[in-house]
Amino acid sequence: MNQRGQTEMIGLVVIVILITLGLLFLAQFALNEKPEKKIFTRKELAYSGMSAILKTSVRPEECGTFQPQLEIILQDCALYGDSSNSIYQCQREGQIEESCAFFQTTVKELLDATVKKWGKKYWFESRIIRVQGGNPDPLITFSSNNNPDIPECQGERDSSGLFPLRIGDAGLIESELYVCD
Amino acid sequence: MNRGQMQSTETIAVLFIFFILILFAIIFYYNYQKVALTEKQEELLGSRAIDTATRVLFLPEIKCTNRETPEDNCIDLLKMRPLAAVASLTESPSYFENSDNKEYYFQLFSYAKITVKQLYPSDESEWVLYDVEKPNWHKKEPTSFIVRLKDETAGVNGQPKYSFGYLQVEVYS
Repeated sequence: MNQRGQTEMIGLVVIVILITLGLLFLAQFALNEKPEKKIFTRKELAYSGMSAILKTSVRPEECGTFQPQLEIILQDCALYGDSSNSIYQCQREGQIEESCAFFQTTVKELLDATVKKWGKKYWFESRIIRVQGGNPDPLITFSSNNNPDIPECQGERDSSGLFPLRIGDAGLIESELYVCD
Repeated sequence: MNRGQMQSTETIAVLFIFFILILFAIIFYYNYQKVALTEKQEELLGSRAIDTATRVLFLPEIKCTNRETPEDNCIDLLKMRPLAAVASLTESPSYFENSDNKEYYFQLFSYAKITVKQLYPSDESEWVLYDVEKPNWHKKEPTSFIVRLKDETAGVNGQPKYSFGYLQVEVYS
């Protein structure tokens, strides 16, 4: 009688274990669902953000009445850097800014007012590829956090894709915007 | 107590515990399904927000074209301004809401609020393209996309001027 009772207890324990395993299995699937909406939104934000940034015209009081687009300012930055040979010397709040600094400040403000405000992080990168070859040189890099020592979006992220800009015979600028949660 | 009674008692106890376990499993499954259903509803609402925003971005009434080639993620201000309601005047509906077109655009957008905002270089401006609020709504799901706003008349040397802005779509459930 004791043996039979023990056998029944073992059976009960096995049932409990099986039910627990089944529930854990179910919970695991529930937690691993792909957030497709999240991925689509990030990709679309990155692509549309980059596309809008490069084509946006600057204010007439900032870089002259010609109102160049930000991609022109970026090309100027790549060709002349922050030197005095720069074609565009823009100003912001009465202070003169070289084209590289102006581009970075303006684009960061726009991305902070949109991407960052909507609860996402970003990482913007422009690189120069010289005609004579070699590795791309970083040109402008910044992210949604204000600490340059802590890069953002190094893990799971979505990219705008590469947006190339020719800089005459000097080479090519590649710009890319990464958006992450 | 004789042996038969002992065995019956044991069997009843085992069955009792077994049914208690089944009850716990049912309660757990019910709660899980309830949470899963709520999450599914939110997911569908989010999908609807993205679908609506995508439809707006591809509307020929406001989409930019460059010599008949459509431009992605771009809204033509010259086309959009006459169609939009002035954001501060709630009594004047937009083109998409007036009586002749209401049913057609309601089929496209359903209960939603569609706003276009310009951030740079001009001072902030806002246009409401569509605003049909659902009665007794309990949840709103906003989705925003960055767009270029093209103005053919404001550029220099015949070139169009592009501004930076965003499209915000709020759907109701």
